[in-house]
Amino acid sequence: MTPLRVVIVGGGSSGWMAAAAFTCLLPPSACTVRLIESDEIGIVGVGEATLPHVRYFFERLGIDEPAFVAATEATMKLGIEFVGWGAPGDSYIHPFGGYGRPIAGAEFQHAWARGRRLGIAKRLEPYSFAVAAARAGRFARPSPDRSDIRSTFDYAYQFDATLYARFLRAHAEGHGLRRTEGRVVAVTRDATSGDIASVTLASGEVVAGDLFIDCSGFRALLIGETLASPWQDWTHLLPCDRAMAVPCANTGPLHPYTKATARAAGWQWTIPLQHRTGNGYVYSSALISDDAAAATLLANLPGPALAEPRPLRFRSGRRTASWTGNCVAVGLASGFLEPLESTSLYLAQIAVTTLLDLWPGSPVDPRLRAEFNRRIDREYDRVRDFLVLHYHATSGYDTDLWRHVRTMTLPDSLAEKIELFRATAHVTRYHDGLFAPESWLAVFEGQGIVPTNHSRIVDGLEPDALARRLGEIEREVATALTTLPSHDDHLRGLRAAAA
Amino acid sequence: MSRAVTRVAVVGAGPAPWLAAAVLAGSLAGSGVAITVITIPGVPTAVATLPPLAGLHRRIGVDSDRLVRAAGAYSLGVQFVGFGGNDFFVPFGGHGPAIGDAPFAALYSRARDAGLRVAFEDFSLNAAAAKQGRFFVADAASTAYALCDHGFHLHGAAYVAALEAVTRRAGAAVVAGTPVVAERDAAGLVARLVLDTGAVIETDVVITCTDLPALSDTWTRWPIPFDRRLIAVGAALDRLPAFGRSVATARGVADILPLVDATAVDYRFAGADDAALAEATAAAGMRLRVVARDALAPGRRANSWVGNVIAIGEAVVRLDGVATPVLHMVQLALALLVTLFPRDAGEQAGAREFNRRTALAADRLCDFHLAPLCLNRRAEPIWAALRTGELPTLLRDKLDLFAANGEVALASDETFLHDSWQAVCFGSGMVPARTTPLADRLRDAELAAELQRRLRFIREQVGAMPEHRAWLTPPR
Repeated sequence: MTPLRVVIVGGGSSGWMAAAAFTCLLPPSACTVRLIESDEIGIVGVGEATLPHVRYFFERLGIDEPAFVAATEATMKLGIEFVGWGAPGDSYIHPFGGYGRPIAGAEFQHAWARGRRLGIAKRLEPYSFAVAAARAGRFARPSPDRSDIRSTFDYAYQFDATLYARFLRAHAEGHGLRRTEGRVVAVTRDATSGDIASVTLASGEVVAGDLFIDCSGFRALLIGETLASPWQDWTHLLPCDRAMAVPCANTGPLHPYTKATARAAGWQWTIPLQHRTGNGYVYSSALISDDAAAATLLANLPGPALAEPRPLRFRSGRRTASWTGNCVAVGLASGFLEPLESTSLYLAQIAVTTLLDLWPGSPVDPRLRAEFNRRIDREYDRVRDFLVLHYHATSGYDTDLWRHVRTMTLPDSLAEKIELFRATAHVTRYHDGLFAPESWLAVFEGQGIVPTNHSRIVDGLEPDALARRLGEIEREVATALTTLPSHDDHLRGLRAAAA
Repeated sequence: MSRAVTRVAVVGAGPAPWLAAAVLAGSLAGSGVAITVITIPGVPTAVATLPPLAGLHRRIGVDSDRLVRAAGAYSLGVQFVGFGGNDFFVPFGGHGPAIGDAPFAALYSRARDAGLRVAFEDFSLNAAAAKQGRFFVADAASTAYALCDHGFHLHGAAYVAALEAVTRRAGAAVVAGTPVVAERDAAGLVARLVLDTGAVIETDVVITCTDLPALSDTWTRWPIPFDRRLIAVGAALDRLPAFGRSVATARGVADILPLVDATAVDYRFAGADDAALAEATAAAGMRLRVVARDALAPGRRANSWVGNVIAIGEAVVRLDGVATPVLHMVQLALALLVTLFPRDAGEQAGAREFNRRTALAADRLCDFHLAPLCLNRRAEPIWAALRTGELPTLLRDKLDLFAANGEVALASDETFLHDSWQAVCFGSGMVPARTTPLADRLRDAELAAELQRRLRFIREQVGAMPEHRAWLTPPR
């Protein structure tokens, strides 16, 4: 069996995730991997905040946490704080973790919803260990003891995307990856199959391959420009189409979470890293100019700006077939969903790991392609619904953008989910993909969608007993919290371990 | 117009209504709901259950092991016999751990391509134990190798009696009779069930495990050609197998359930009844006594919760056979019901979710049931038609993907997961065209040595297990 010739077009987070995974996890007999990137082309590099899944990816690749944290100026992430979404001035954290413990054989939210109605339960936050740790700026790895409340969360990283790509590049090159500096100037297709046969570089070199991975970002050089895989536009659901990004200096302790603040024309991210804080304003160009966005952003930084604001343009949506012919799009070439829930790198990771499971030969078996596209579609659809919920369940700003998202027709899948939660406090668990019921619960409650009912299983709880149980959980969280070091101390420990 | 739900009538025959009533009585006791069970005549000869039911038994206070010892048997899985290829086993357990990034099924595929002459099932502790007449309960060593579980074969009457006892203890009222009229209130909700005995049961919600006059009657038919059924019993097998068998005949499938003191046979077939007993007898390899014959129309009711009538179990799914017990559908429905149980008789908040999930779960069970049928290699026209006929889309996709690279494309609400699908696909003789190169990192010699080590481990484990029958003698 001759090894499959894999050509990755484009570096950046997606390109290097693909390259690192293929070279580290597949034997040389399976494939040869080349990555073509040009130093002339900048990387977008906004995906600085991640989901816990990235840790499992690193584990598979044999990446050492302290080394990675040191190399990418990473911080720990326990969730996302949403400021001013449900209503002006409010704040909630969507944690990587659950709430409370099951009560009377029902999921926590049922007893909690009853407690709310009886006036004996607080908002959800004090029952989540992850939220408590985030608010207190504390961090430790989750306990392996499942009975310990300190086991009820997961964590991710916030890191410098440029350093991340560089780190993965070193890792991949250490495993024998061949990188070619160059710009693709032409793409040649096979006359009969329509598959991509080769790409031609500015140097004149022709790079032939069996499988092409399009990591060229928004340009979508192969999947879009060459193969014209149709684009499904979601602008009507997620109308923001610009971002202005700028780093600023750190001030004070680093918080172990990402922050997303609602603004008149969109929202602003705040991502603390060890060496600086990443900031960006995601907005709708129909509402404000780039200059106005830059001014708003600069006026709302937690520290002095370290550079000029940099504009980015995008369009929410996805390719209807991320894998077309012998070309698989990974990352922004495949689709874009704004970084409100830090899903960009997750979606790239899922594309890479799904491709590993469905690895083709040459020519590509269409059954593998079909399954890949089914799985990727499902992931995009689910993330889309979750993002739309954030925009929809709001009450603050009265601009065109916010009026539109509050009143627009929702996808049926989302409308039914909201309706079910409101009527029953129940959230269905998917067998795979994002997001878990705890996440939906966090955003529902955080943005004012209150269940009007709860499971009748908890009707039998005496109010006193319920109040006592809720109080116990709250104290368990508070007590366990005092045993955690500060996030800054944890980072110092990791630095020391890496040295 | 609102009517608070304080009274629930649970209607049906066999174990399903008792399970439902026991669970609801336990869960809704504090919510002021009174439960009445309306029992219709008819008790199944034997019942095969899937592993998860043991958890439900614990919750309602049924001692599964005691039931098994009294009149049942344990089941480590199902053996498929006579489908045209080799016999194969679908165990209630796994086939061994991944090695690093490489899933075991991919490693197995690779080893077989390289000349390994061992069946997939030989890597299952469950299958190996079952085939040697042994039984075991998972311990640390077996669990480290694979999740190993078991279901039960239960004597119908003994099981119903045990369920009735716990249900009565939980405070449910019991009435015998068959509902003949469902009277509705002004809002169109069922308010009263009139029984053939003349008794009238007032109720706010009806949960039914059987067809009722009040049920909507739109059915989705499943592409299974067996339209007749014969139930029979024979003598107990000497060396009592801890597994069920699904035996293909020229025009049907006979499920054979060993019990400690009898063998139950459930034969589903297409066409006339004349030769059915002879075919079932041949399949079971023993003399049989006919218990019942009836018609069969495999399918699923389109909407299970309409108004204040909620259909579960056989009222939703008509699909029999040891690999797809309807009781599992009852269990799934109950898990949803206790969460979504209405407060008002007209409340429909949970109905859409209940109906959606019930339909998905039922259709996936049907897919799993269909898989060995459509992968058969028999020559008879009915079997050839099953092989070439149109399949539900998700099943077609699943089999296509397995044929392409041995991956299992799981959908939502699947009861049977990777190991079960792999067992059916490999067992039916499918050979994936390729496998993920994640399985290619190990050297040939390393892989061969590891597989040999695993087979030895299974031999040693099984060698130390007691005979199945030894588990059924009461503990001293």
